[in-house]
Amino acid sequence: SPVARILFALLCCHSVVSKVTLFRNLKESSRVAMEFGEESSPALAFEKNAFELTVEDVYDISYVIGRDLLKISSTGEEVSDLQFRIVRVLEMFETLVNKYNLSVEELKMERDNLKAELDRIIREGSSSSGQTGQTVGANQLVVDLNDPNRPRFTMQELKEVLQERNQLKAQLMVAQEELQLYKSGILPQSEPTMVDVDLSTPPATEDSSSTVNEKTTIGKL
Amino acid sequence: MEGLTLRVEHLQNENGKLQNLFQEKSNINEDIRQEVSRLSSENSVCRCDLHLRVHPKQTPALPKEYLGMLEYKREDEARLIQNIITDLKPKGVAVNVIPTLPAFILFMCVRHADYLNDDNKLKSLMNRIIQGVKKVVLAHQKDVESLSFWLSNTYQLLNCLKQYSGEEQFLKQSTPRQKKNCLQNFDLSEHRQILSDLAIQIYHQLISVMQKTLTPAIVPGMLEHESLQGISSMKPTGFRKRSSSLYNDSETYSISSILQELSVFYSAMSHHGMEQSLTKQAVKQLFFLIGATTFNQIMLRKDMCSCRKGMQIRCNISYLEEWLKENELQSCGAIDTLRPLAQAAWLLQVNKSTDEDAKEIAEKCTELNPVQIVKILNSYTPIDDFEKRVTSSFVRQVQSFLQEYEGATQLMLDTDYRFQVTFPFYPSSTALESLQVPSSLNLEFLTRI
Repeated sequence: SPVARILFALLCCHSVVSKVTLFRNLKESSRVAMEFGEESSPALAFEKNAFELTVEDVYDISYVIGRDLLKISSTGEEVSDLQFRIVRVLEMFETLVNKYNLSVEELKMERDNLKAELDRIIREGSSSSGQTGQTVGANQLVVDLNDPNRPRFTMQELKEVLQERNQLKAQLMVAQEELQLYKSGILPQSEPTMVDVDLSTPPATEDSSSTVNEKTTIGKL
Repeated sequence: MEGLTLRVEHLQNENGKLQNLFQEKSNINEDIRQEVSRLSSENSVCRCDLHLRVHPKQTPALPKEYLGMLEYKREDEARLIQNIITDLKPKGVAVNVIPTLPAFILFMCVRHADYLNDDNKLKSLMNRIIQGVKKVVLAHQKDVESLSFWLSNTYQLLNCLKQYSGEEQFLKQSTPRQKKNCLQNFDLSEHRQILSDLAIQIYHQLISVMQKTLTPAIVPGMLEHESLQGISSMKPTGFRKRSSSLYNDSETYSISSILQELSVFYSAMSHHGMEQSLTKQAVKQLFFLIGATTFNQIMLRKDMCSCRKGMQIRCNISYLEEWLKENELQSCGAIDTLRPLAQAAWLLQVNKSTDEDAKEIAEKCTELNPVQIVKILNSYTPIDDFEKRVTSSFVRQVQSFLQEYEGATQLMLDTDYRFQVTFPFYPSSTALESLQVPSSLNLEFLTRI
């Protein structure tokens, strides 16, 4: 049948177009596979951040530079000094990258150890005090409730108490002075009251003048 | 009379004056003489000092003329072998920039032993080198990197021994300076032979390792993986079930797995500075393995003998060809090793019904013997119900065209077959005098001569 023949022909002929697109797809997928870390191209080492270089990257760099040097050399002589100077520089580079990475690792380990140590101490500290895991921060005071000399009053309370004391002290001083006056007889026993001086009445006797004086003294007081 | 007296007096006066002047002059002369002697004595002291100070600088600052040799003490021989062969890593700064440097360093040591006319030292060194390389290859016998590295360096050492042997056939491309550097006292052609055998050994070990890695990917990648999606979707339901399970099983390997593996091998070989001719031989050997393994599967499995499979195989062969072009390996003869497979694939695809078809088959399948052709024709499985099987009369027709065939009649190809490896002579343009020994190789005990 014609349909079968067409199908058959399609199957048997070289589909050039599909082959090309397919090859491109395969290339792309293998390139992607390579990127996702089979072995990446050595030239990629040149693009890395200096602080992220590994010794392997230094070797890749060495290889690429070696190939480039081969391209420019025709005879063995002229390039040789340059070649060996480059090797020397790369050797120093390898040493430095190695040392740097080792130091970073060591410091990381030390930091992690110290962190673990700190966490451990905090955990131990909080468990022994019986409090519900409250960490003591900076500017905080830990108070032992069994200590008789522990602080108990607030600043405000203290202020009020001191003010009241000062007031009472002043009143006490006044009362003491008064008492002294009474004792020395200057003042009568009864409660001294302010007596109005009648200026129209004739001058009184000695008593009255002392009384006037007393009054004025009292009035002065 | 008076006049005369006067004159005499005058003359006497003159005389006296002259004498005084003379005296003065001689006094002055004396002074000058003293001054001169004083100054000259001072001067000589100065000159002495100057002489002492200037003397070291006065020697002309000529660049040291190196002879391109490396000296070592006999007792350092073990250390030399240890550091430059046994412990040397194939990856490092020095060997990445100059991959065959170890070979040159070793040769420069050999040159010096020859220069000293020291028979024992030279023999001992050559033997230690050969033993050292044998051991290190044994220690890393499964590592493609190490094997490539030492194959490359052994080959380079072999080339150096030839180039500087003094033999006429190897001097054609040497510079005058290189000719001067030839070995003067000893003939090392025997050692060259041993080294050559060692190189062949390393080569075959390398091929074995690469083949072992490649083999699991060959049949799934070349035959089973269905990359031509369009075709497989056109399959009728009867076949679909079976092939989809095949697809799932071999999804791990495809033609790109094979290509990727080849790229890994190729880059390992070229990273270590292997001579192109050797690399090409290795690639050819690997391609042969791919072709033969795939071909044998077709001989054995009926389900691989379909038109569709034929197309898939031809497609994969073209990918391999593409890979060769990308890596500039077209001239290595690799693609020729795939001819039996290519013709088998063509046979699967082509019409197999008329007499003309039969004649064409007989003419075109030059790489296949009649046994193989008949097997393929008989195994041919139509892909659908519309297609007819190959008739036995057609097979007989084909056989009749092949009556005069007089070759081998084996069905299967020998996948273990190895092409003979050769190590053609390649002179190097490197000037030995200009080579230095990088410090990272830990060879401070070598003295550059």
